Parts: sequence; structure tokens; C-alpha cells
Amino acid sequence: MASKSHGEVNGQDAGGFNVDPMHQFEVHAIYDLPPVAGIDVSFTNSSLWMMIAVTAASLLFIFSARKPTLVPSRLQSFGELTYEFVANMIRDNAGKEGMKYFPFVFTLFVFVLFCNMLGMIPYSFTVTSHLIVTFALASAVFFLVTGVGFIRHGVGFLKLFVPSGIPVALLPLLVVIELISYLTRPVSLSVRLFANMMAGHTMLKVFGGFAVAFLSAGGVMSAGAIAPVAMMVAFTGLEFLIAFLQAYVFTILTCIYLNDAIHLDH
Amino acid sequence: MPQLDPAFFAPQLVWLFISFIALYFLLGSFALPKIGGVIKARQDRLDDDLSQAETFRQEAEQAMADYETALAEARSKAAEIIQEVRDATAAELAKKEAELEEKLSAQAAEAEGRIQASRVAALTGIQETAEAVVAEIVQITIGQEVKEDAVKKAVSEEMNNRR
Repeated sequence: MASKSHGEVNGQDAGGFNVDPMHQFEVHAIYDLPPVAGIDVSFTNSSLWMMIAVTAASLLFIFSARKPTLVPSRLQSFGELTYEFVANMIRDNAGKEGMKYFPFVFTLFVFVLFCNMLGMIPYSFTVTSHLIVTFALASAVFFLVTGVGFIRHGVGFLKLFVPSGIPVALLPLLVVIELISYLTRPVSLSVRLFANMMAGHTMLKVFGGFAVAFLSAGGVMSAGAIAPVAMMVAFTGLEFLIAFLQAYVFTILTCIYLNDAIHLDH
Repeated sequence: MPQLDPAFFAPQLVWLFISFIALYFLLGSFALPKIGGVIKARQDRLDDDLSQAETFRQEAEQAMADYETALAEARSKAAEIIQEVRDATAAELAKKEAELEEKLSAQAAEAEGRIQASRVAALTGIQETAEAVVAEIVQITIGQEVKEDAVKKAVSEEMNNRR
């Protein structure tokens, strides 16, 4: 609903119905900071929402464990459920050894989840709708997994690319395929999250634009706005689901990649 | 697409790095150890309570077994005592019976003796009377005194024949 009014504002600003659905993804500097070592470090709306996500998540989880009781309170229950959720994900997918990387995986899950969820607030900015951000996160996972693999198994980690029980003649082909699939992991991981977040938000804005167009037409046509608004309500629910689901998928794939690096089995 | 504008790649990466590290540090050093501790404490408490319950159950089972043993012991002891009393009573009864029998048979023997004696006495009295009567009759009949020995002999002979 609020997105609709957002669209209205945009529409009026533009003096017509041409609501730009990509406008919500624009990054703009809030504070222009001087470059550090030649790198632009301006505090942007993206930075702001990252900070909000970090602050909200930290406060929530720190407060959830502030006065622990045997029978958890609601907030404590939230903290413990999330903790157990991620811990079980690691244990089920990467085994007990994977628990070594629990803080990283937990942070990853919470960061992606909070950025996705905060993006659902009207007028907010969805940090994870930017490919550069999701690609950086996926690369971090990629380098962590590769590092873990080489540290645990040394050169033996390369066996990951050599499937067992395959005719020797097929090996060169399969090794290349395995290698490509391994190297494209950060791409698929980041594009999945980025595309999901961007597509959902764009769609909401497009429907919002339809609603504005109907309303601006006035008269009987205004009633037609009900249809896109109803669609938006439904899609908003779906978007919440996707916001959680994509955080879950991102994390569980991280666990599966970790399992590969820890156990080296195919 | 604003996502493909490289002008904002650098600031996003820098702030992503800062915020992710900050979140990692905040969660990793404040929230997670505490939440994990609480969960572990609860699990320990549960395990404790469960093991304690198990101990209590075993104790209860032990007590039940003890009670049953004691009950069985008491039962066998009671049976023993009953048997003892029964045996003692039977022995005493037999003794008393024997004593009574002895006494009765002694009395019977004595009575028999007395009967025998009275009988002998009676027979003797009859013989003497018979002898006197015979002697008198014979004297009256033949008017002559008969020898006492002859009468005695005749009477006892006759009595022995009739008996």
C-alpha cells in the first residue's frame, strides 16, 4: 500500500504515469566522504541500510540473550530458534566439523535475512538487490570454502574435481565441467539472491505504477486500481516469503559448499 | 539498471566490508556465545533432571525388590512357625494319649485282678459251703460222719466236672 503512495509521489513528480520501477535501486551518497587511498568511501543510502541491518540484528540478538531464563521469553526464543536453525543447518549439511564456521555462517544468514526483510519496508533500500553486494558475499563464501579445502586437505583438495568411478577417457571432460561448476558457484550464488530481490521489488513497483495510472484516469477507471492493488498485496506476502527463503538458500548452499571442502566426497 | 553503475561499486563494497565485519564481531563475541551458553545450560539441566529421574526410578525398583524379598521371607517364616506349632501340638497330644491309655489299661488290669480275686473268693466260698452242705447231707442221710478229705475231694472233682 505504501509502495503505491510512493509510486503516486513519483508519478506526480514526473508529471505523468511514467513511474520508474528501477528508481528504488538507485544509490546516492548521503555523506560525501573524502576518498581513502583513492577509493570512494561515500556513505550512501546502501551504507545506511547496511548499518541499520547490522544495528537491528546486533541489538535483537544481544538483547535476546541479556536476561536468559530457563523457559525463554519471546525475544530469547527468537534468538535461540535462529541459533538452532542455523546450527542445525550446518550440522545436517556440513557435519560437526562445520560448526567451526558457525559464527561466519550465522552472520551471513542474519545479514542477508535482515537486508532482505528491511528492504520490504516502503521507501527503504534493499541492499541485497545489488549484484555487487551479493557477489561480494558469494565471493567471501567461495574464498572461505576454497581456503578451508586447501588448509584441510592440501593439494588433495583438487580431488574434488576428479569424480570417482568414471572411465579414464571421460576424465578430462568431467574435470573441466567440475572445475567450471566450482568456479561459477559465486556467480550462481550471487545472481540468485540479487535477481530474486530485484525482480520482486520491480514487480511490486510496476503494479504500483498500474494502480497510479488507473487512479489518475479518474472517474470509473479509478475503480480499476483495485486489481493491481490486490496483486500487490498478494505479492507483498510472497516477497516476505522470498526474502526469508533466499536468505535460507544462500546459507544452506554455503553449508553444502563447506561440506564439500571439509569432507571431499562426491 | 542502477545496479550496473560502477561508480557506486567501491562505496558499497567498502561499507559492506565494514558492516559485515562489525556484525560478525558483535554477534560472534556478544550474542552467540551467550545464546549458545543458555541453550547448553538448558540441555545440561534437562540431562541432569533425566539422569536424576533415572536414579530415582532405579531406587524405587530396588525398594520394590527389597519389599518383595522381605515379604517372601516373612511368608516362609510364618509357614515354619505354623509347622513347628503343629508338630509340637501333635507330639503333646500323642504323649497325653499314651499316658491316658497307660492309666486306663492299668486301671483295667487292676479291675480285672479284683474281679479275679472276688471270683476266686466266691468260688472258694461256694466250695466250702458245698462241702459243708455235702457233709451235713451225707451225715443226715447215712447217719455217719464222713471224712472231711473225702468230701473235699468229691466236691472239687464234681465242681471241676461241672465247670
